[in-house]
Amino acid sequence: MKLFRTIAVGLATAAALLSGNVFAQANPTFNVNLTLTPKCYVNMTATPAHGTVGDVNLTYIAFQTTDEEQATSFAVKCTNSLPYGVAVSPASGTVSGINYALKLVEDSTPSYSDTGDATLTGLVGSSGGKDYSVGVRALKNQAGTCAAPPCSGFSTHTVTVTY
Amino acid sequence: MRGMTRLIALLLAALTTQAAWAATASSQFTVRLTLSNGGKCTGETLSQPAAAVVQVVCGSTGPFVHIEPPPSVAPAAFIGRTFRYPQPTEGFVPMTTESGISVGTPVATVTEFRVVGDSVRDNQFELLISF
Repeated sequence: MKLFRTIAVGLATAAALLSGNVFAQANPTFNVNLTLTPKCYVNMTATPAHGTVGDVNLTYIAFQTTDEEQATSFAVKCTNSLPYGVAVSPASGTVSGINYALKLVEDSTPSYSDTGDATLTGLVGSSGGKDYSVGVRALKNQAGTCAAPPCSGFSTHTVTVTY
Repeated sequence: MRGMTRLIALLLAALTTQAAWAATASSQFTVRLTLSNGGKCTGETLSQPAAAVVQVVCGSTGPFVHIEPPPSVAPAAFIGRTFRYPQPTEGFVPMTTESGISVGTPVATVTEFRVVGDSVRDNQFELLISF
């Protein structure tokens, strides 16, 4: 028995020497360090088609008997899982004496508000993009201000994504 | 005490990390509004005593009077029309009607309306137009 053990150890030692392998191993490692700077992008798209890209066009007849409503939409692309919020400011405006209000919703179908509701929080980033709509409503039965017809004007609103 | 210090340190670290990530992306759009037909005026002082809705439309062809019954009155009992004429003395040939038919440039406006109903048969009838 002792003879067999001596032979086995001898054969193993010979094999190790022949193959150049030694019993100590060297496994060098290195790290790939990556710093990701998260980003969000806003891409404005327009509806309806007759408007300038991103713009909302309202045609209002003084004292009209129905609310005037139009909308625009945009997409937000963010780093996956990145928390963010979206706001449109100001949430209301006045052009030619006609007051209007904006409503921001997390959908491609617009919704409308009488007083203005244009802030969304607690959103989660998606590289595929997420659609948002801004509905603009001018309430009915407003007189407006128009000293020299025809009268038109505009007001600029800003979409801000905070992340 | 040591645990509290560690907790405060963690909170400060979290706040610092949050502040470091704060960033914004923005874009702008414009809301354009056009008052169609220049403007339209509803004369409440005329409408209330007349029990009718009297409107003056200030369009590109000049003032245009529109008279319609109030919502509580049946349309058949109150019929109003408005015409414009080239010259007030040339007779009553309508040039522009409410429906938009135009023959020439109007220089005057005459408004007529007919009231049908038993309630006004024996009563006085008044019409006031003011520009």
